[in-house]
Amino acid sequence: MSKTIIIRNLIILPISIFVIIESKNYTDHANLLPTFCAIGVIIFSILDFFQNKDTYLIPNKFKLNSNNLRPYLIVLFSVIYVYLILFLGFFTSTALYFIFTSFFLGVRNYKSLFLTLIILIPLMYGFFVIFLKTNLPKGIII
Amino acid sequence: MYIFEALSYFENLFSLGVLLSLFIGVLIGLVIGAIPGLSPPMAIALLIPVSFNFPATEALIMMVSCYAAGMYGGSFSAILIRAPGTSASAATAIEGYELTKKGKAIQAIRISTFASVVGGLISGFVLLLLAPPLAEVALLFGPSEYFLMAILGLTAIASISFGHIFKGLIAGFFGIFLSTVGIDLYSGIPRFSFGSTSLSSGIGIMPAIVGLFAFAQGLELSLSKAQDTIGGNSKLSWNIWPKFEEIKKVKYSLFRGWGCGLILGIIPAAGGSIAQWIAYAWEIQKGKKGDQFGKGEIKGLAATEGSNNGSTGTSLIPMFTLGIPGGISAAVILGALVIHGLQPGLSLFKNNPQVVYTVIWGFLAANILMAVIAAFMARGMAHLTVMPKGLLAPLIIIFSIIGTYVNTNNVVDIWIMMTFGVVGYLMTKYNFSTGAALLGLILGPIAENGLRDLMVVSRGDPILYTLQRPVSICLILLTCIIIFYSARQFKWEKKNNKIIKR
Repeated sequence: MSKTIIIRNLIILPISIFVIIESKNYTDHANLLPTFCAIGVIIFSILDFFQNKDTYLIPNKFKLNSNNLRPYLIVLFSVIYVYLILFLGFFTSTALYFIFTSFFLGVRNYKSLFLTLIILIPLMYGFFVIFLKTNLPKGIII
Repeated sequence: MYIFEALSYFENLFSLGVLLSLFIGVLIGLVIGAIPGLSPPMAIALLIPVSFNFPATEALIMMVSCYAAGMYGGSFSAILIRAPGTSASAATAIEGYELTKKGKAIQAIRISTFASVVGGLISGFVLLLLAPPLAEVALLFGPSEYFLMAILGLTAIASISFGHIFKGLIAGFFGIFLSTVGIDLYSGIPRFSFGSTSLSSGIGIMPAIVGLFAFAQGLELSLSKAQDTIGGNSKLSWNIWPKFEEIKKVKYSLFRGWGCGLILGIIPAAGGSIAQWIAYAWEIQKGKKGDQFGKGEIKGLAATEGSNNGSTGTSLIPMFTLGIPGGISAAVILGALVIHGLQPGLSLFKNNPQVVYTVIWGFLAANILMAVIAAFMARGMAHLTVMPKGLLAPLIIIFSIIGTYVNTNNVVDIWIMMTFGVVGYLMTKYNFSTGAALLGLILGPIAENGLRDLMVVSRGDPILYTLQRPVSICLILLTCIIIFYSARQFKWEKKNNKIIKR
C-alpha cells in the first residue's frame, strides 16, 4: 500500500473513531456536528480509497532524506526562534533566525543575505512599531 | 434603489484610511502575486493580522484590493519567465512567455494590463448591481438551508482540490470539526479541549489562516534549492498602458474573456482558475487561419487575462450574499469578514451598508490603482520574480510569526498557527485542500447553529422537514451534482493521465 493511505489510516481513522466516542459525553445536541463530521470523514475516506485504489495499492516506501526533512527542521528552528524572541528580543532574534535559516537552506550569497536583512529590519520596525504602534517583545538586547 | 444607496457611500472612498488601505492592499497584492509560488490567498492571509489595527471597512478594502492586484500581478511572472504567479495565470504563461521570447514582453504586459483592469472594473460593477438583490435570497433560508448551504460551500471548494473531491470533503469536514473545539455556547460544556484553557476558547480563524496559507507556503519553499529563482531577468519599460490599435486587434477576444470570467466567477468555486482555461479553449476554437496559438498569440493572452480578473468581482457575489465563497481567495476574505464581526447575507447589506458598499467601491478603485502602481513598479517586479527561495522562505515564516503575535500578544496563537502550518504543509503534500479546511472552520458555527435549530423546529425528524422545503431540495441537488460532476471529471482526467500522483 502507498504511504498516503498508511498515513490516512494511522491518523484520520483513529481520530474519527475517538471523536465519535468522545462526542457521546456531550449533551444538548453538542455531539451532533462532531459525530456528523467524523462519520463523514470515514465515509469519504472509503470513497476516496475506491476512487484511487489502483494508485493506493501500489507499494510505496517512505524516502527519508535531508531534503524531505528540511521543512520539519525549519519548524524546529522556528520554535527556537519564538523562544528566542521572548529572551533576546524581537529584532536580535529575527536577525539571527534569518541568517541561520537562509544559510541552512543553502544561501551563500552573503551580499544579498545581509542586504535583505538591512532592508528588512528597519522596514519591520517602521511598519510594526512606528506605523501600527504594536509592542514587539523586548528581551535582554532589543 | 440599490444603486442610489451605493452611490451615497462613494464619498467614503476618499478618506485617508481607505486610501491608505487601498494602497497597501494593491502594493502587497502586486508584489506577492508577481512572485511565483506565492498566491493571493497567502497575501490576504498575511494581511489579516495587520488588518486588526484598521476598522472593518478599511481592513476589507485592503483584502479585496490585494485580491484584485494579486490576480493581475500573477501575469507578470507568467509572461516574463513562464512561471505563473497564481493558478489563474497558468494559461497566460503559454502565450505570454512565447511573446516574451519573441521580444514582445512589453506588448503582452500592456494587453494584460488593459484586459485585467477593464475586466476587474466590469466585474466590480456587476458585483455592485447584483449583490444587493441577491442578498434578498437569503431571506428564504431557514435552519436546514443554513446547514445545507455550509455543506454546499464545502463541496464547491472541495471540488477544485486537484480533482480529488473526497479528499477535499475530508479536509472540509476536518475544518468543521475544528470549529467545534472549545466551550459549547448552548450547553457550556468544553468540547475536545482536554483540560487546556487555551483550547477552551476555541481555535481562532486568524492563526489558522496564516498557518494554512503563509507558514505552510514557507515550508513548501524550503524544499527548493536556495538559489532557485525560477527564471532569468527581464527589463521592462514603464509604459504599460496599451495603444488603441493593440486593443482594437483583440477586442472580441477581450469580450469573450470578460464574459467567461463574469459568469464563472459567480459560480461557487469555479473562479479565475477555471475561467481562464475555458476562455482560452473558446479563443482557440474561434481562431482564424494564421493565428499562432501556443506560439505567442496575443488574442489568447487577452482572453485569459480578461477572464481571470473578470471573475474577481463576481466571485465576491456569493460570498457577500450567501456566505459561499467563489474561490479560495474569497474564502480567506470571508474569514476576515467574520473576524471583524460581520455576517454575510442580507443583514450585511441592511445593518452595515456603509461597510459593504464602501468595500465594493474600494474594489473598483483598486482595479484602477493597480495599473498606476504597476506602471511604476514594472521594472522592479521583473527583479522580484527572481528572488532566491532561500531568502523568501524565512521571510514568509518571520512575517507569519510576527503577524500572528502582534494581533493578540499571545504566544499560544503562534503555536496554533505553526501547528496549522505543519498540517497545511502535509495537506498540500498529500492533495488535501487547505482551502476546504479553512472554509470548514469558518462555516462550522453556521452549520452547527443550523443543525441545532433544525433539530428543534423539525421536532426530531430533520430529514422529513428538510425534504418538505424546496430551497433545501435545490441545495441538496446542487451538492450532489457537484460531487457527481467532480468524480466524473476526475475519472476523465485520470484516464487522460492529467492527475498528479504523489
